[in-house]
Amino acid sequence: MRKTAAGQLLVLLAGIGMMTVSHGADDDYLKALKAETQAITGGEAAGTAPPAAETKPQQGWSAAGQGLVEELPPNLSQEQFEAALKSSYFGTYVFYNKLGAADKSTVYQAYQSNAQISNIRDTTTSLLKKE
Amino acid sequence: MEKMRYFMRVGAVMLLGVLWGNAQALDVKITEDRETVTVQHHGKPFVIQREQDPGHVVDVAWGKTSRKCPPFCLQPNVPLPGIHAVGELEVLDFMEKFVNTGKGVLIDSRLPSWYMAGTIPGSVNIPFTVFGEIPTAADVEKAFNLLGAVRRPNVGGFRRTLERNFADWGWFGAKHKTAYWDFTDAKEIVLWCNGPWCGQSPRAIKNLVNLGYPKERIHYYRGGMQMWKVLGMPTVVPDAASVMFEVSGGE
Repeated sequence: MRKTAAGQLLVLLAGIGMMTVSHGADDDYLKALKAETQAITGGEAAGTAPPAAETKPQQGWSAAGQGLVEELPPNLSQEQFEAALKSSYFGTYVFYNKLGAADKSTVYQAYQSNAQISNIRDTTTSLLKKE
Repeated sequence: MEKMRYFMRVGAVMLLGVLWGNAQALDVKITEDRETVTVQHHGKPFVIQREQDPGHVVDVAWGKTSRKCPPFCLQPNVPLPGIHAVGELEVLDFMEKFVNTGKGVLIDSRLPSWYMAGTIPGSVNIPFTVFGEIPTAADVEKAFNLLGAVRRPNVGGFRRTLERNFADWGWFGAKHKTAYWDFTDAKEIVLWCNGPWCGQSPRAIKNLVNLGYPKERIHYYRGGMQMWKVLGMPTVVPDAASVMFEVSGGE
């Protein structure tokens, strides 16, 4: 009886462990995909020089090396905010870049009130769907 | 004399017609007897014609040969036994016979950021992550509604046991049913992603099969965006409003 219960507990723990590993693996795969999107669409692998405005050094913020980050730091200028989106949340940046100047300001204001990436993403997609 | 003038006029018109026809013929066709294919792309016709410039080359980004594996490993032609692998001509046939008639769906399985950079005309974007969710998730329901699957009411354990045991015999009408979904009228679907090194559509296919989607209605275009571009086929940058599914994670 005890052996059966212990065996069942081991199986349960192994299952939880496997799920944790598989979700981590999925997240790594998503990160790799998003990085590759940037390589394909960012111009660097397309053989074309990026526009001059993008070659100046960006004194922005990047999520790289900071572990799982769900929000941008506060008090970024709009330019820094865009650079941070582009470097660390490229999918959201692609959508943001489709907006007009007025809507981009709206998203920036949304960031200023709540820097969570989920808020920025929701504001961006709701503005896009409105167009 | 009148007759001669008449025949000369007819001959001139015929000659002009032949010359005009030859001037319109494409140098780079799809097949010997197929120059273009028209597909309905989000409600509007899109004419697919190959790039005609013989000097045109594919973007350097799409010419990369050696992405790291993993994660960008070569994919088998058949991701699962029973799945039908297709090439470009089959995709074009599918567009004409299934996409244009509403009987089939061409699915861009990539993340929305890839889709927004350009997609194969006629495609809808259902990211591969959608089918990795539980059978009753909202996004699964949204995707399956597009694909002709119907949500089942709570069937009950006894009925499900009977269905599972006798599905192959065709009893209880359960051949294409799971506990949550009825795939009896599910559409034919072709899934694709970035190319032979891309695992997004194979993942989607495996998850679809796990959810119960009939294998015989699933087709895999392994060549994906890479082969599509290499062959000079056109892509379309979609309207942002056509994005139906958000994908979180990986950022």
